Amino acid sequence: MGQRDIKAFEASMKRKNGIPTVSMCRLDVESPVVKKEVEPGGDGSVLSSSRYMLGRGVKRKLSTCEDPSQDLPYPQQRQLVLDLCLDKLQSCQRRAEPSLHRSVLLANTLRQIQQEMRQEGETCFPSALLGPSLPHASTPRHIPDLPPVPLDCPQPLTGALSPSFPLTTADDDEEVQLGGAENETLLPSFAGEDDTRSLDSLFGSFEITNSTSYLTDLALDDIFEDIDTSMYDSSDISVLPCPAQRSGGVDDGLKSLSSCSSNSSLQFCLSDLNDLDHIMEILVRS
Amino acid sequence: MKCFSRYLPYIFRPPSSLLSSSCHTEADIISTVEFNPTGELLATGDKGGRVVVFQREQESKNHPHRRGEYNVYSTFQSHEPEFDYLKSLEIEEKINKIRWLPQQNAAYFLLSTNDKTVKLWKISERDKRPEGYNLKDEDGRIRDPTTITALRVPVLRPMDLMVEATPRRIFSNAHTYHINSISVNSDYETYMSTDDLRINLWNLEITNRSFNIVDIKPANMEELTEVITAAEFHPNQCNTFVYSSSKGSIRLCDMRTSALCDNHSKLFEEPEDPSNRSFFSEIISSISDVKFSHSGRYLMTRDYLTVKVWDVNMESKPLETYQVHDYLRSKLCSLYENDCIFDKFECVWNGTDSVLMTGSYNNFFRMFDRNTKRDVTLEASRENSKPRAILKPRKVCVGGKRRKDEISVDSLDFSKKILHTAWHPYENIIAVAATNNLYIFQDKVN
Repeated sequence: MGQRDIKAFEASMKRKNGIPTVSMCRLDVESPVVKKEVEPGGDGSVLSSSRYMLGRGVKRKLSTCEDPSQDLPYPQQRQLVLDLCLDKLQSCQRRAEPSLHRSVLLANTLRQIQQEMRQEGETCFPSALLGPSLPHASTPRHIPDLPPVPLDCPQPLTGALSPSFPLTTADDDEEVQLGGAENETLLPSFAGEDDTRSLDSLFGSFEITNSTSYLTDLALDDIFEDIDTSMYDSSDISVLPCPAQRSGGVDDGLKSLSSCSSNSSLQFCLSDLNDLDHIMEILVRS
Repeated sequence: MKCFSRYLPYIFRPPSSLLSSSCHTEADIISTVEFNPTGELLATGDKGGRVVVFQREQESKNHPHRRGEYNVYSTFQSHEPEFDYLKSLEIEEKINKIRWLPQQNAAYFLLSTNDKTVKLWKISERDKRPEGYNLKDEDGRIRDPTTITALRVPVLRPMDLMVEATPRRIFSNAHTYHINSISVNSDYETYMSTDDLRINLWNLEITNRSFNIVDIKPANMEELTEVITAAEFHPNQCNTFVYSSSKGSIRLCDMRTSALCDNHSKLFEEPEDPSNRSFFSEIISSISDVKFSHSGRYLMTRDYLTVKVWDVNMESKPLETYQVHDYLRSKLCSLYENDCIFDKFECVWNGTDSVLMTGSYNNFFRMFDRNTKRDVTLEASRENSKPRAILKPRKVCVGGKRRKDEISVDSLDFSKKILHTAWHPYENIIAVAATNNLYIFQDKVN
């Protein structure tokens, strides 16, 4: 147990182990174009998008004070935020301490953007939307009250994006595939920013949706009909049964996610949660 | 060096010693700071589940310059990491909040909480010990009764002061979600604990039962769009409390109206400014802290960019709005990317409810004087704080030509954030937690 000693202006304040997510984060940017400069021997954390230059003692030109993203046209700004949103929501499951507050805020932002895209989609050609937007957004008419974050749903997060699919027709499935393909071709242009992480998450979501395409024939309600979903008490998304994914990297996480979303484990998860809740009730009452 | 007494009626000087932990690990990150009701004690909780209590040194003629300095009084491990086997999740031992109980006898009591469990700790002094037992000797070994020929009365003899902390109550298993606040009621008999979706009322004496007074969990979790972020009891009215939400609203509830206070008595909400609308509008409107003024007439709320003061009698809009770091408004996307936009800053009132204080980045913290409308930015850093010197006001340059002492927005260090601060209940003494360092600044107006 460490004691707090009183030191008179002694040792330096530098911490060796910085907080993993944020250490030296500068907001200065030279240009929105790809420029990945990492400070030599720099801190562990690197902003995922190379759009933002890390600088610490690096000479910069007089840069604009504005966010580089504000130089982008609105749809691309929105796309960026959407990508980040999904990114973060996926990483929520991998975090050691998932935060409901954070997840809700992310989900609301995501929903807001999707709603906006949906409204725009109704006025534009749907095919035009397929490219820049994600598969589930490309079928706006079929999205119910957008549950992108089933906070206590046993499905893993990206699998949860697929609830929109069960409600789509077979045609939309094709649209999805189309959208997928188009996405793959169109993404490289966005990936000019070299945002490989966002690509991973997008492809990852394809993986999962494909494996859960069996849900196409079932309505969402039928699956949960005999299970009282209102009783779920879960403080986080990553309830089960994917503890392994916390230790793995992105790929591991995605693999375990796809394995989790199989039907048998789904049922297993649901009954587990029922028991969990029952136990919880007893504990709280006692 | 400009003296900032022009801006605020006090001058803050750093103490002669800086309270810092010897090992710089993540467990030493301070997660909460709180003065006790008299200001004699200051408690800090950290990420490693430890509580460190500082006590103010008594006035002494021998060392007049040491008057009022805080020294370590007691250190104890309040919470340990736990593992929830049902959910395969670790429960962090990080202390989220500490709240002191008013002193009723020689011992001090505080409530400390992590994500799941609230504990009542008793901190007491022992400076005497009994000596001269009949049945055991000084080492504690039992004496052979046959060797005892005479009886004596044990006497109390002075010993070195020992401060011991003992857990007196453990309030557990009442929260499914992460506890973010605790608040002691003015009746000194009850307190409430708040998690993301529920608020529970406890009696301090009873650990196996709590009453749920607010529940915003929807029947279908997929419909969840709002969580509770903070809650506090009214300082004088034991039936009134407020809670804030992630959507920027504050609800005032009266426990006399019904057992379950899901229906608020008052809803404080400011309509959104359409000119400031962005993708992040909702995230930055999420209230991270809510505090009643000492008088109970006002409420202060902190969202990502502002501090607002509300009149309890006016729900439609805040009385005052103060910009903490508006220069970040154009940087929201970057802050969203590096997660800083989710940082939860706290805010505090001074003893007379005339000054507000809250933290920012780069180890800056801000003070707003409600009467003069002046504000000041100060920095909690070793480099800038020489002993006995006055704290120099800082300024962030938002564009154009940067003056000599100013710092540009792009040079701010976003890993150095001041989330937790505390103000002495009566005097101008402030405690500022900068990651793993605690700064105590005192006003020495002579």
